[in-house]
Amino acid sequence: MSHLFSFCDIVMKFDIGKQPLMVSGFVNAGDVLVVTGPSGAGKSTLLRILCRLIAPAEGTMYLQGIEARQIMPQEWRRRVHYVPQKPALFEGTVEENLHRPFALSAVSKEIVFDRNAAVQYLKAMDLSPQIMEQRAFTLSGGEAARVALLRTLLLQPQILLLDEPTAALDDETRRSVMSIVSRWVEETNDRAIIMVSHNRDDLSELPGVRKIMIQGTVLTSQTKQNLTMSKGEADGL
Amino acid sequence: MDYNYIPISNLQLLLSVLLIFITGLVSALFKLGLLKSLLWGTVRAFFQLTLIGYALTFIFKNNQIYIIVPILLLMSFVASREASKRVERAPQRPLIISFVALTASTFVVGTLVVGLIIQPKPLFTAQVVIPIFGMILGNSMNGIALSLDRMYSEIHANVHQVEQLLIMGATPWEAVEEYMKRAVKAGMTPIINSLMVVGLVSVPGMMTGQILAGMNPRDAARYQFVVMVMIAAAVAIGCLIMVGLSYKKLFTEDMALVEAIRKN
Repeated sequence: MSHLFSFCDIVMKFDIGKQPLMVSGFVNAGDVLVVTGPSGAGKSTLLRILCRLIAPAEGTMYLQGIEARQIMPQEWRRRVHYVPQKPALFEGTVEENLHRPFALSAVSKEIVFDRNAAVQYLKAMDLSPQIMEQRAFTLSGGEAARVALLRTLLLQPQILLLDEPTAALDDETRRSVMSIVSRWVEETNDRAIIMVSHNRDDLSELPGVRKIMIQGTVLTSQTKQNLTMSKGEADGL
Repeated sequence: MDYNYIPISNLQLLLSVLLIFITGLVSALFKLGLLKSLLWGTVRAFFQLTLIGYALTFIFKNNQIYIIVPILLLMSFVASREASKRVERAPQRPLIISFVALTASTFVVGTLVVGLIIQPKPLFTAQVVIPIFGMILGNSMNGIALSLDRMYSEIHANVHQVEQLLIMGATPWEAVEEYMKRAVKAGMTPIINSLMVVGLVSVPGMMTGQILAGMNPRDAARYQFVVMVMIAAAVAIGCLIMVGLSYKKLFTEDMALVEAIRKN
């Protein structure tokens, strides 16, 4: 049986002085895969590779059994959607920002903007629906992070790649955001999350952390050694 | 009224050198450190112009297409080198793109102007073709240089926005469209501004030259109008070609930003 999403022998090469890293992993419906490791270990790079913003030196990825190369990058990125630590907002109001992806050709063919869903998410994220009229550049860091997450959820991705999603949030907001994310992953049976997080409390908000499977290998010029960002470390979270 | 061409004698040419002393005096007075460049520039300008004078005399006399076309291509190459040299933030010097954009726009617009508007006989008259193509090249070069520079500046300043659009499912063109439009606009703005003020603020160089050469100012004005609109068209075409060829180089095969742009 094929996994909902898997990545096999992805080799990440770094700048001079750091050894290449090979990682593999998979998620099935409802899974939350947490990627941990020290700063600079390549966690964000892995997420960027998984959404095809960076090409890996080697390795491949599969979404519902289909190899990445067989899916157009635009379609892939909407379905395997990356939320960076600092997502970019655009000039204009919050509503215009939420609308923005739906003007793109690849997105408009698939889905339409659902304003009601946007309002529901806003309320769930402790944001007033009036914020829709506010200029995006006037939002606080926490508000901007939530608006960016909302924009992502409206795109109906299947795999959510979250890079420290609660880093800019206070404790209360962090809990509400993680609660939305955990509900989102269980709403349908074709969703999963791969998340980079240093915050152990984030995981306590995710009752659905059912399976954490990631294997890593450091590649040296001669040998392959087992490594670090491994199942054991992730399981300990 | 009679319009006569007044030639410049050797003595008169020598007198014009006096003007260099004024420029040199300003440089020396304010210690601008430009004296060496000024002297070298003056010597170069004199020899380059003298040389081109003789070369053009030879070319006009022979009037052969196999001489004219290579000269036009050489002019295109020199102009594209100059245009690409001014671009600071490109990952690779965009020499080939500049050359294609400049040559294509110059040949398309130049051929239209010479063939449909001026219609010299024979059609490929060096005396018409070389100055016309040269004027287009000189101005397109500035437009394309401005456009290229603006394009890379915009992409560097908005790299997060471009990447965010890609993440949301944008095609490469959708991700950079806004910045490409700004680049084309930057290239076209100077010539459009010139169209607004031409004849009011200054009498353009070509028109001045024709008047000094004895042409009726009304006829010179007609020529100048043709030249201005021809330059505008060539700049527009050149900038479009440049943007069309350049934006793809910002992306990988997988439609992600190339590393040089992402990490810069």
